[in-house]
Amino acid sequence: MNRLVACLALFGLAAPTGGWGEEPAFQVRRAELFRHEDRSYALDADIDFHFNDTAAEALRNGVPLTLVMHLRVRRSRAWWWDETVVDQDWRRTVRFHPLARAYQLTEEESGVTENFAGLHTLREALGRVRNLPVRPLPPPASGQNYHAALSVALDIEALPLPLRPTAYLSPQWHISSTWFRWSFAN
Amino acid sequence: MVIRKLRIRLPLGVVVVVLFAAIVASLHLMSSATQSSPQLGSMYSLLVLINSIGSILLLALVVANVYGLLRQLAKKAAGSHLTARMAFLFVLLSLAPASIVFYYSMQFLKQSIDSWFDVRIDQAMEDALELGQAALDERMRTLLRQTEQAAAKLQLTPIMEFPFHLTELRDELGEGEFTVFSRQGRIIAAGGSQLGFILPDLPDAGVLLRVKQGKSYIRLEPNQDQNLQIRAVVAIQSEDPLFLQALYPVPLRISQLAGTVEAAFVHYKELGFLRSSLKHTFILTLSLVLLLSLLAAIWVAFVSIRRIVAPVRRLAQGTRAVAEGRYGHRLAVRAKDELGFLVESFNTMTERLAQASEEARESRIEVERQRAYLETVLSSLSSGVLSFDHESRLLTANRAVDDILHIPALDYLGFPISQLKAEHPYLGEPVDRIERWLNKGSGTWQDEISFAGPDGRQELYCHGTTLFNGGGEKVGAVVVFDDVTALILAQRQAAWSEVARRLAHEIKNPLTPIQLSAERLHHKLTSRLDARDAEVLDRSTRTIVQQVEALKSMVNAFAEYAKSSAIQLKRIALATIVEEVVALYPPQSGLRFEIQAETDLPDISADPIQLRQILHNLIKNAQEALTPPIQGNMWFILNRATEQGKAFLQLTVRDDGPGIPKDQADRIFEPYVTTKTKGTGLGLAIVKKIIEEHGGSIRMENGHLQGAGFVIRFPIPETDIRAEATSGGSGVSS
Repeated sequence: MNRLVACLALFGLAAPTGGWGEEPAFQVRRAELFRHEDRSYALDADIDFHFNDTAAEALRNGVPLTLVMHLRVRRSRAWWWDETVVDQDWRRTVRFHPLARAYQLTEEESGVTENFAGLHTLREALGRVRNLPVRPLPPPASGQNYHAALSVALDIEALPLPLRPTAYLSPQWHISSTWFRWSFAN
Repeated sequence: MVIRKLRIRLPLGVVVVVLFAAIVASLHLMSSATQSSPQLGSMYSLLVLINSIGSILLLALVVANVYGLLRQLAKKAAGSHLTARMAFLFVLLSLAPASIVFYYSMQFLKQSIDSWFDVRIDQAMEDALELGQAALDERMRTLLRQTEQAAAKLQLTPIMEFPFHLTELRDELGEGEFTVFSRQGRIIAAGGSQLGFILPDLPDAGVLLRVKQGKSYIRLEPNQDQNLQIRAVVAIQSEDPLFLQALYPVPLRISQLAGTVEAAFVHYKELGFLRSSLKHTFILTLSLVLLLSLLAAIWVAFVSIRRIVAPVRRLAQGTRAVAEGRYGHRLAVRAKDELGFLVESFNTMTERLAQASEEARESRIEVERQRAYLETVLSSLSSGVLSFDHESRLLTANRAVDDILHIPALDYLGFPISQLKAEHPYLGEPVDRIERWLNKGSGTWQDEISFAGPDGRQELYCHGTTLFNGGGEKVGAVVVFDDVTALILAQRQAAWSEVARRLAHEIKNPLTPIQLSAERLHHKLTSRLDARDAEVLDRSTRTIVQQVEALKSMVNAFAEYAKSSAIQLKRIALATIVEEVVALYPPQSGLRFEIQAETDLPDISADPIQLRQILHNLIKNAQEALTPPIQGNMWFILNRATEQGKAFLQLTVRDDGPGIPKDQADRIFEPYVTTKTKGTGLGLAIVKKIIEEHGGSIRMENGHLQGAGFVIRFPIPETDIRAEATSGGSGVSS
């Protein structure tokens, strides 16, 4: 028993955080960074969120799920490694309210909540990212090339503690998208 | 475990203590995290990781130790069996109770987690929630009706007056906020308690779709402050459809109650959902605790056992070294305990052993030296020395025994003396005599033993002593004997020389006056006597003169024998001398001669005159032995002979006469020993004397059927110097 657990733990450490080779449950369809007049950047993205049965059941049983959108922007440099200019996370928590029979979406950064009658509408709202402010990029210089990448994943560490070891070891819980990459010039 | 740790010294002790502290702290944190402590919750995965890595490291350590131990066992290294046994015992002792505790803890854990869940509680939770919903549903229905009525009113009102109506509605109902918006989500009018602070939040697209189809929407939902509110959306029928949304806050108390019920329900539901995960997590934590503790305990056990066994191992190695005879091995004393004392005692013991061994070695060398010395002394002795054990078996014999008895005495060590007699029959007499003395077995004895050896008669002078050990017990005997043949011979020869000298002196002197007196008597009286008397006188005086002459010649022969002759050595060929001498004897002499000589015979160093004398004496001896009418034969055989590494020129002289009787054979070379009626009896004595003066030897030929045979040997000189030395030596012996 001890050895089995040790082996499982080892296996868990080595397990990749990708979708274990399956079709990713989340998918970034489109992502774009645009600049406002005040030179601040914002993110627009369309993301497909598909919760598998395990996640949906956990949600219905009162387990809140936290999703992390991760944006990374790198500036190309000719003679050196690329410089990471933006490395930003946005966290969205989804939970079910049995009394109201409603799904609630919370933006962790602002604490703003939104209620949805069904999971479907919540997914749509979640997937439609519009005008999401991005931490300011450094003063732009003309002719700079930037590589951006966006991914979405379920945060296992945000799950209730007893679920975490199981989640680490089970492919059902490794829900994430592949990186969506695009380039833009300043 | 604590005692064990204390016994281990720095720095390993510190390492172990730190390791254990780290493990215990990590396990404690993990355990606390499992009990849903919020601060540690976020560290849980990290802690599991750390503990897993710790377990793997410890496992690797234990595996390395076990592997090392197995290798030592395979090599049969000292102390490995003890280590293995102690380690096995320790693992068994730690594993057995830990496993039992683990098993029952798991059972208890599963049962207690299962006991949290009860069908009745489950039902009560469901019912409580339903009750809350039912209570709120009633309220919602009322509010929906009111909203629909308000919408109906607004339907008849121009759009411009909407704000006014909405405020009126708000005042009428006393609570809630109202918004009219278009299908595109544009807000037409709004009124309510919170208006002006934030933008009214609009329903999602799904709701609008439902309402557009003519269905009113009413829903309970949590607001930003996690209080409940009721949202109602109804359509305002007109050409361009508008929608009225009303948000009614649920009274605070009811909201709180409902919130509590919901929170409990959610928590209970979540627990139910996480039931198996909870078990797994607890089991994981428990297993990690057990695994870490066990592995750490086993590792520390290995280290401690190694330390405990180390002196035993060193002792075993030391013992092995001592067994192999290496006494110089010293063990370092590292502890002041019983094992340290043991090691110290071992060192003392090996030191004493080394001393004893060194002493034994020295005394062995001394004994060996003494023995070698004794052997040298014995082998240098010209006397033969034999020693016997108490059963008369030969124990030692020196080299002189071989020379005297003509036997390889060393081949007979361990055999009874009678064995000598069986294999060398000529030793019958001396062996019998010695055996008799040995069997008599007490005190010291001496004896003169005479026997016929292969080279002629030998005289032994023996001394014997019985040997006793310290307790007076007989342990054997030692016999010392000398070959006194030559001595006795020389004594006899000296006696004869003395006799001869005296005879010559005492007898020869009166002979001349006797002869002269007789001749004078004859001369004086012949003329005076008558013929008859003269005849008597003449005959008598002649007889006297003749006998005196005979006496004279006899005395001269004696004188010749007695006088030490002056030898003139020359290199000569013996064969030539033999031929010359033989040529002097014509066939009328009654003898026929035959000479057989090997070719290339070496010269010898000798006096030719004396050699001729020898040959004449021998021929005369043969002649005298013959009865006159019978013709005799004589053979001279010359060849080379080698005995005991010495080369000789051998002359064998044989005749076919009557030979020499056995009883006289031993003393034939002594003066006046003769078998003949004629002669002085000195012929062979003179021959022997001359030959010995030349360093040669003469003996009777054994195994001869008819006639007499003599074997004469002359040494072959290697150089002239050597020849002179030989002649000098022979001078002494004469």
